[in-house]
Amino acid sequence: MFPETEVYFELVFLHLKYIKQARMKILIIEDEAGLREVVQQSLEKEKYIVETAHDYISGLDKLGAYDYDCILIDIMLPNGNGLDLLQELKRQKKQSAVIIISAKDAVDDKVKGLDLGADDYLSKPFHLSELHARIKSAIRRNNHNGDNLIVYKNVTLSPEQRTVAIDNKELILNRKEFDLLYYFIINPNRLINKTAIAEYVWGDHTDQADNLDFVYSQIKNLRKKLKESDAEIDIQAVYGIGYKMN
Amino acid sequence: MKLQNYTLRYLAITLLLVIPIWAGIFYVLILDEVYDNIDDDLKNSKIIIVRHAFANKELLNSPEFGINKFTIKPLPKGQYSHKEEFSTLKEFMEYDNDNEPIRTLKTVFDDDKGNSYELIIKASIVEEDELLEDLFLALIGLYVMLVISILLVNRLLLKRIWKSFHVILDNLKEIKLGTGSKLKPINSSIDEFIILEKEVEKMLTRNEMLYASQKQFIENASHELQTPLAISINKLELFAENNILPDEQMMELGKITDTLNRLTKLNKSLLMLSKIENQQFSEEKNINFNELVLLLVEDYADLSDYKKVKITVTQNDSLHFMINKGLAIALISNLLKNAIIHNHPNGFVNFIINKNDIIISNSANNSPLNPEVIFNRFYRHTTTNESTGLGLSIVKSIINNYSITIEYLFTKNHQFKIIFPKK
Repeated sequence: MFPETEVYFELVFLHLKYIKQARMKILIIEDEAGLREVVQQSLEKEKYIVETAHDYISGLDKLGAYDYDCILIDIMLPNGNGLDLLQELKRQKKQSAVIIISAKDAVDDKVKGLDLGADDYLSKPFHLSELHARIKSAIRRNNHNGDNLIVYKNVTLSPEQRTVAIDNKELILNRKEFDLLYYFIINPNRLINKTAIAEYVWGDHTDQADNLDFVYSQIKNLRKKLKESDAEIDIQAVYGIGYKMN
Repeated sequence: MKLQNYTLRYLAITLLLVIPIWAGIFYVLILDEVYDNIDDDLKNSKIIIVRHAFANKELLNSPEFGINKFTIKPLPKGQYSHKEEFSTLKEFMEYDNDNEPIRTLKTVFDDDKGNSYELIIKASIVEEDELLEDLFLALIGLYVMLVISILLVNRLLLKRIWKSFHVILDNLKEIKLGTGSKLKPINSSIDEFIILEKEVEKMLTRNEMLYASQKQFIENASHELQTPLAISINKLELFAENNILPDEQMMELGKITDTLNRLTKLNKSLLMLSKIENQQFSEEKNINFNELVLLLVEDYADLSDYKKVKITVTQNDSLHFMINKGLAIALISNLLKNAIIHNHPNGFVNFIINKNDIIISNSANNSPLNPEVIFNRFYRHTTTNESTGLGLSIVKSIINNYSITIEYLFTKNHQFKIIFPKK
């Protein structure tokens, strides 16, 4: 079995339109070398083709020369502003999904970015699992003419309908359980930090000492439901860090 | 005690001491002068009487005081002292129907034949008790008038003089750092006040600058920390994914990540605080707090179920308020989160929503909190190292922005009352 197979299948179902070009291209425009590298490595693990730019000018060059499925833009760049790059992109009528990344977490920047046509806004620091989730949904939304079902093994999930089917039999989940499953499905085989899970599903409600137990007790219910309906996926605890679905 | 009353009190007490001392001295001096005068007069009368007696021998035998104010009695032959003796005694006076003091001069003179005669001259003098009484009354009058006039001068004049000072005081009371409040001008011609005003203004400007740069520093530092934090967390995540480490080492890796996550939370809370204080949450909406509380209670249902804490909401009225939505959520959720977390299994959290206030009370094992310090940054009641110690500071800075007040009470349960300003 090729290691890519799972990812391959996932992407096939995510974007039926792109079957022939399953490996998507992502551009990272970020001036901090450390962050650029770690994001690049993480994305390459997911079989994305990743290119990087370290400032406004090199970002502008790459934007104009190639088409990307998704572009990550840091707002504050040497010799320019990321929002201007976004404007340039829209001017060139490029179809890429765009995620703004900023250390500022300022409401103004967020509103401005989204107004200029960014698909999402992510403030630093973020969890890699969160970044992957955002990239996937941004690409999915950007290609809205595709079939939006996410299929992994015998589990089919519809983010729009918020429904889950296992072997075509519907599995009833409550809102939080659905969010949990969605996060795992969109990050298959990835070790997800428990804080990332808690933040994704419950916001910043749970920054307290019993974070671990709390997330565990919520995941326990989901696991039980998945097992009862013979899902071919299972969520495993990686002690001390978080969880992994395979 | 106010400044003008303060000086008045000391002046009144001083006058009360100074006036009797002055009166005593005055009384002694006046009396001395009066006696001196009368004695001079008596001496003068003696010269005139003796001269008349030489001319008119009949006068030499007038042993009774009649209309005359003197007596002359012949003395047996012998040697007599010719000294003048003065004395004061009391004599019945028909007019007053009372004994009145009189002054007498007793002396001896010789006529041309060498016979000695005793001469007594009397004169009525001041009634000391009545003089004292009059003086006493006059002094009370003087004292009262002095105090009243000082009071009036204080009221009218000093009030006007100190007006600028009170403007400066009001200015100082009004100052709220970070709001760019301006000082009211004093328009005084008094040097001291002008200097005071100038110095206060300088101090305020300096403090405003310090405050602004401190805020700027916190904000910049928090921003600058985000990227290194992102790199560290992401590198660790990637490392944890890539490496199959023994369980214990994975545990350690998890602990490092947890610590970094905590740092992230802390940093975000600090940023949030700076932003609230810099009033960067400007967009306001009329928020229905009843709906908001119900929504947040539902949001926190998983956590409260897990902690076995029962949440109830009593709506006595509907509460609307113009506020930034994000801040309204932060305000309620910080208090709600605390109430759930600092609770015990089978405990409760109660919301009571009234027309102008929301009361959040929760059961707890621990003793009352100190309301003086709970809103301070980084104050922690418990030793849970996972809390940032900034939750209630955020609450406090939100309510400060909107003239909302918050009260903490402990009556077996912890109770926070958020009081909204009346419209």
